[in-house]
Amino acid sequence: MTSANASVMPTLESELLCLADTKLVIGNWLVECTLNGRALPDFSALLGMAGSSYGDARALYQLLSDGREQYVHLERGRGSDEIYSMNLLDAPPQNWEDFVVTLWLCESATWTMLSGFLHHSNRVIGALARKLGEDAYFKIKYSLGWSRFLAGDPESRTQLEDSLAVRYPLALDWFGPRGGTDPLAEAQDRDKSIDELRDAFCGDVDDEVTALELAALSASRLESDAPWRPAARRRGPLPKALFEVIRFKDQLWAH
Amino acid sequence: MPVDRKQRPAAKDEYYEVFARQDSSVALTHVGSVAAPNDDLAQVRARFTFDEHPWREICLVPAATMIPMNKNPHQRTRVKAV
Repeated sequence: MTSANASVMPTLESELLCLADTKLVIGNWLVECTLNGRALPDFSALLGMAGSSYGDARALYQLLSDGREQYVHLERGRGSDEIYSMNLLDAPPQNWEDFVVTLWLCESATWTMLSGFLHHSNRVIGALARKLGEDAYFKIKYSLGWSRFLAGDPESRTQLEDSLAVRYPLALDWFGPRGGTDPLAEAQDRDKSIDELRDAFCGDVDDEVTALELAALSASRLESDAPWRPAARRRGPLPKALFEVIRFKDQLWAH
Repeated sequence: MPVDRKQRPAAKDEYYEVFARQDSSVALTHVGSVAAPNDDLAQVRARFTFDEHPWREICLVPAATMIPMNKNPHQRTRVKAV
């Protein structure tokens, strides 16, 4: 993999690993929640979206690997403290509304981050960003389609709002502290600064919340003792229970 | 997440007919139908249900907008065999 500026290569690699690991974890979420689908076409949609999430993760691992050995390590050889997925996905969904909201926030946040690489000097990174964007388009459409439907029911509406109140600050936290350094934007490896991307994400979420006529969002501060890990874009290690779900369990099935 | 069997709110699905073609030299062909509560969900369900080909074009028509020509059973269209 090449970058416009070799000095930011480690930062670029960890940024792409954050995206890959988040796709891996959301893929597992989709598989775990498949039986909660409301209709037969939901099952195929959930499994289809899971498949594309795994594909996205593996394409990014492939991009980050120099050879077979490194790929195997990235996909199957890392411990729970080496997985760089969003804190947003650490806690399992509490109900269908929570699942729909979390899928929407996760896909919107990752797509916003990827959009900064669309014109990357390494054309493979730009092409991957476009492809992952196409996959994200349908996942966002799925979650917003469900949100529009659920917002029509008073009880579901309350649960959508409760879920947003908990999950939105976690999604925002993924972009890191405001005003921090952004070596990738400085090296022109990314079109926009991380603060601009965060603002774009907030704008998209606000627009949808307004359209759904849900209670206004509050970007309350996260109450977490764990320090922010810039390279991993998260706080603390992956919870053990989640790691048990996502870890590669049978090497014999690998190919 | 444990399986949640509650159907809340009750799903009021609309039906959509799905048309697709593999390349621009052939006409759009009816490939099936999907049920969904709104257009967004119908698009996603159709994309992942009818994914047997990398379609060049795939589109949905709400079944409610289709005008049946043989609604009156006494006025069926009859085509004479040549």
